[in-house]
Amino acid sequence: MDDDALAEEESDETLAAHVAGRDVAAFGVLFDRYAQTVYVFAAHMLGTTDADEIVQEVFLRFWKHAGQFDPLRGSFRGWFMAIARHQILNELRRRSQEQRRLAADAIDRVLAEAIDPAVDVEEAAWLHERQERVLRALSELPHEQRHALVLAYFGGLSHTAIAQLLGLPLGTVKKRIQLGMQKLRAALAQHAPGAEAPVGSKPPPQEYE
Amino acid sequence: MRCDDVQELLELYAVGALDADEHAQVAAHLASCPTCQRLADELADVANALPQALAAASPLRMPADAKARLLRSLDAPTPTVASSGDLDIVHDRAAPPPPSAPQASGQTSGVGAALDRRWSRWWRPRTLGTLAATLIAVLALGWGVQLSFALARERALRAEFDTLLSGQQALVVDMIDSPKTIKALLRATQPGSKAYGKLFTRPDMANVVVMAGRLPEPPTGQSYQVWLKRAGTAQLAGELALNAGFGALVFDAGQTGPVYDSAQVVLQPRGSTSPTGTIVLQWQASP
Repeated sequence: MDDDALAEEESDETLAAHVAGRDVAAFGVLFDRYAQTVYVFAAHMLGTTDADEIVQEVFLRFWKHAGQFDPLRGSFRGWFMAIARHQILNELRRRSQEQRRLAADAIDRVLAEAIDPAVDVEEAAWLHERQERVLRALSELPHEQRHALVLAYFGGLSHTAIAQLLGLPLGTVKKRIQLGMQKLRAALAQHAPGAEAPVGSKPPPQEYE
Repeated sequence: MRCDDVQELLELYAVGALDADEHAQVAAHLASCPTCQRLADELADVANALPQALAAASPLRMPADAKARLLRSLDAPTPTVASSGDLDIVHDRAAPPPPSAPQASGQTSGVGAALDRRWSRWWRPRTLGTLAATLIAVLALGWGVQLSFALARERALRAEFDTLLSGQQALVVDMIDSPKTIKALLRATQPGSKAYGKLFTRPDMANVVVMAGRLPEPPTGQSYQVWLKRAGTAQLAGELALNAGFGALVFDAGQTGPVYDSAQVVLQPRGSTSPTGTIVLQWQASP
């Protein structure tokens, strides 16, 4: 893929196939799409120095093993973010649960305040619609639901660990995660069709409750 | 496991909250059940929106040279790069070990509750009586939202701002915290950039204050220069020293109530004498 402008418009999956064929331009476009996400996740949980190294390691690993991605088994985003999260959580295991909790709590606050109802237009213009929708949904989630989601996803804590940490019954933590995810899913499902996420065409959560 | 049992656990599965044995059981079921797999995929998509949302909301930014380093390492004969010993790794000098630091918790009330992020209430911090509060408000305003994050680092920032503004804090407050203040917004010119800038002038003062946020660390040897243009002549207002992507400077225009046609933040080699580098932020007066 020599034409960078063309590469910009390709799907993640197409680009990943090019990367498997040693296409540096395609690799660069995927870096632009995902590196900041991986970096910020890692930087919040591990600090900026480790985050910098993790971005390098994750993308180097992807460069070497891009051929292992199979589009028939799911989206590139799902596959790649699973690798990145795994790498971050691996490093996170060396930290205490208390450290993880503090880091996750700070993420929780960033997400809680992500959308100010009175935010000025210049700020709102920086966010893509989908991002804004997710951020808004996250900031509007009941605190305990968002907190549980953040501890699990970013902190890498199981619902058992979260229940112990917060001194709550297991069922309560489970319910918070379920409700939080269902609300986020509903928020994403309202996203205009044809946008990057295919979620809009899927059935609402109550169908499998 | 039956479909009902699995579907009960899919939200937890998506955010990785199941214990190892449950996780393995669900994964085994998904491998042989396309219906549950489809639901799991949808929820995975929702879970993957979490880090993307964080990246959008967080003030943290990757070092500007991360991509160049990575691409260089692809050509390396033994591509086991990115060891911490690499000389060319540029660490984000400003950001403290983020949220794991103990002071990251318990500081969201107090000043935080008193500060308001809206422009219209900028006057308020002065009544709080501290410059730090004003500066934190500016910072939070710029970033839109990460007030608690900013507050968690208030102490560090206060020290840093003393350096950034080299003893001109009182002047800065006068410049940005007055009904006479005239503001201009510098917008990012690069696609995907969330950087922004503000230019402050007053009709009764000769100073200009420029603040910018969300800027990546400049590559070694380069800096962000602020250039102000009037009647076709460009004037260097100074270089922005960055703290976690945020920078500010005070410039003496030499005449009261300076008026400009445009302002630019240009990334170029340190000490450049004309704005020939990459324009990262720009403002243009309406004709």
